[in-house]
Amino acid sequence: MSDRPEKINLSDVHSRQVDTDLLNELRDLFVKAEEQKERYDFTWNGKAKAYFEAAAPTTKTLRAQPEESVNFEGSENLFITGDNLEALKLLQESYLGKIDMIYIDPPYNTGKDFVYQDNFKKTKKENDLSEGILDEEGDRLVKNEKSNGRYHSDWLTMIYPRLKLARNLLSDSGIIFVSIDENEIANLELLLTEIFGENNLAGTIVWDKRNPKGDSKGVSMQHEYIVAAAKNINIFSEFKEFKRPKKNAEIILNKSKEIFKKINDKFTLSDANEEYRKWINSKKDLSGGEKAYSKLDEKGNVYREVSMAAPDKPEKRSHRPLTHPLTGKQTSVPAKGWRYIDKTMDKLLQQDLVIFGSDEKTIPNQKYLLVENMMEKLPSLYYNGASGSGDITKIGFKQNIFDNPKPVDLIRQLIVSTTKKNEVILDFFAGSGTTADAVMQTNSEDGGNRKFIVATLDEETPENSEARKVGYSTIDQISRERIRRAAEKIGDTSGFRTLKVDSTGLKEDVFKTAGELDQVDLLQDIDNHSDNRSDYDLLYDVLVDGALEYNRPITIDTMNDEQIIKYDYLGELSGVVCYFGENLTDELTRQIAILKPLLAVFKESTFDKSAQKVNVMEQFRIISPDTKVKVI
Amino acid sequence: MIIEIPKQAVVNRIVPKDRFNFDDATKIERIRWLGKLGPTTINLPAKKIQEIEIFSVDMIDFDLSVIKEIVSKIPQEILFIINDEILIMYYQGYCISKRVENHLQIKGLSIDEVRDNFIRQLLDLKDISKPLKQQVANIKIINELEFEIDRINTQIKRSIQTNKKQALARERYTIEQNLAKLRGE
Repeated sequence: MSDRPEKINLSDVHSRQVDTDLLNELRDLFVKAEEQKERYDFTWNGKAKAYFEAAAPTTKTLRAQPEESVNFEGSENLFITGDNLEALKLLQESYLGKIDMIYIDPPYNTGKDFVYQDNFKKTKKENDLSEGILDEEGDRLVKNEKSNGRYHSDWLTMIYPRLKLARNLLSDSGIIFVSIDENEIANLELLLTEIFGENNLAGTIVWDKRNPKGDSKGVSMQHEYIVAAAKNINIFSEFKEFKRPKKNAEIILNKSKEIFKKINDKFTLSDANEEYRKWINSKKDLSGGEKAYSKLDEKGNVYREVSMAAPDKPEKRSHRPLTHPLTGKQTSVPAKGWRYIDKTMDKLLQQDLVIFGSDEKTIPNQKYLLVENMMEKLPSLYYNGASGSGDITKIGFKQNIFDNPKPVDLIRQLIVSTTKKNEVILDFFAGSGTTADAVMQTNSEDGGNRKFIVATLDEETPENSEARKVGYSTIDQISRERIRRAAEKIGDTSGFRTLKVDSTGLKEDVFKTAGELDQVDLLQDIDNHSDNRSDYDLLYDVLVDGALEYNRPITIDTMNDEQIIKYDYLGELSGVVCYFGENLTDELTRQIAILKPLLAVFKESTFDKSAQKVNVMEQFRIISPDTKVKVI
Repeated sequence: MIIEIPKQAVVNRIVPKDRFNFDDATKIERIRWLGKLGPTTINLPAKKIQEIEIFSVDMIDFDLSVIKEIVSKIPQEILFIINDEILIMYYQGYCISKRVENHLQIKGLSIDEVRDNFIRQLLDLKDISKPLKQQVANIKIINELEFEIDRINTQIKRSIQTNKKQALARERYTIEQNLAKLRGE
């Protein structure tokens, strides 16, 4: 072969043409590198906008919907309808650092959501319509929407501000779980890393659905993911065990007791062990961890043998040989020593938790008793062939009323392993209300008093959908009915308080310049509240304004034949006391003042003259100087 | 007298002030050893406590450090009568005092019980069935909780944000419930 270069015909202009695209790209890269703008980052078109969206204050308020609630006054659970971004903003100040666990099931971005289409999808649709991507019937003209340049960006822009706000709500030991599938798992993990910090990711659970999807061009997907991120993984692990009860532990214990009882002169301990070992090997539904407990000791305890050999750091370990109980000789010691220090080894020996071999040559093992290990760390695999449809058909719904509801058992396991009995659980993509159901079930199982706050969009059910046929015009109606029925089934009486995200309680045209005011209309402009606000709506305006929690008990009392509302009143120097009637006498004012609430609220229209208002203020100043009087 | 000491138990001797290292002995008028309650004087058996001394201390301005000094020098249990109106006893490192309206009674089947019943009378405990140690511990907890409630109340008044105030009130409410449970027992 000749190493002479191919002869270039210098007269051929085309062969010497510069590839301008490549040149420009290279130039950009070099400029970036020179200015040191090149770095590892995760960004998309619209990220800045999403950031600002999270930071923008809300102008919304919450309206009470007692008629849509169960035990509105007494319940400490919340059901919020409306855009969850607004809901999260309304929760920001009141629940800052107070939520212990969040589970969400956001849209997976498959483009196939049927009943539950969230806001972001809507705006996308509207955009598409205006840009001519959709035809008039709303059918997609562009078939492969995944090739759409905005496909991932839109989803990220939707989820980013919501996750950011959600993190603020988590307590220091709090944790969030996000359900997702193959469409956005990669982006979600990157996004959670950015928001929560790499160290705080608590792992991803794979839910094996036991049933492969048939519509894939690649491998057939049979699983979904649940990604976990803690607010602060160190504090989380300090306060939360992240353990679930072993599913079959009770069954194993019962069987072992049954076999142990049979022991007599003819049926020895080793016979019992033989029978027990056969039984446990025959049980197919036991996990590997459960099957390992394959032995019975002389006291009838079920145990497993675990090596005591140290995995590393031999310099820090105990290397002292043990004395074999039968031969009386010193036993062998593992190469890197024992797993424990001398003191712990003594303790194990004393508690009879060391298993010796037939002679001193066998290295002794440690005995793990099942009764002391009834809980197990939540593993990264979750097997469940059933979707949540089974949970909702059980309470009398048609199977296809929700698309892809999550199994109650899945969320129940997450709740059991990460919350204490009186903590608060949030789900702002509540959809079918599975989280609320799971909270109630967990409470009924362990006698807990966990509270839930769930939020969902009051989106209309599509025409000719199953939901519409049965008479539900919006998604939130079905969710509430599901929670009601689920509660009834397990006898849960905690109820829930329904609140609706709505425009602020003030009249919108109340802020007028002098020129806009007419003398004739002056009287109408005095009362700046929209007239259709109920007493509870006014109360919620005050709660939103004062950043008080929304799920505390309300009591209605009668004083001087007038109705007053007490909110979260726990004795002097606490709570809100409202009077919205028309007959505010001196005596009633005095009685309210004697309660010494933190806030006393009256309605502007209660006072005929400003002198009356001054009088009320003065009474409070004398009787209860620490009470803030609010006239709205 | 606040307490009637049986004749055999009366000692009635003046204790010289220079036996102790008082910071300022001039403010003490007189220390008198009034009586001695022991197996030899009131004919009750002694278990752990051999005898109880009764001291009267007269001083114009009450000063607890005087009592502390005497307690540190004399190993026996001492019931102090200050200016004929205040009774003081030390129990488990705590100084228990009471302004007495009526007579203090000598009750019990042993010297130990007499001491325990003195403490109970100082603390207004009517129930003598439960062990004193537990009762005193209870009172200690109740006092601490009450102190905590006062502290929270001041904090509520001092904070500005309503939601912070309410969170404190909630904390106080939990303590109040614990307190009610303790008192109910």
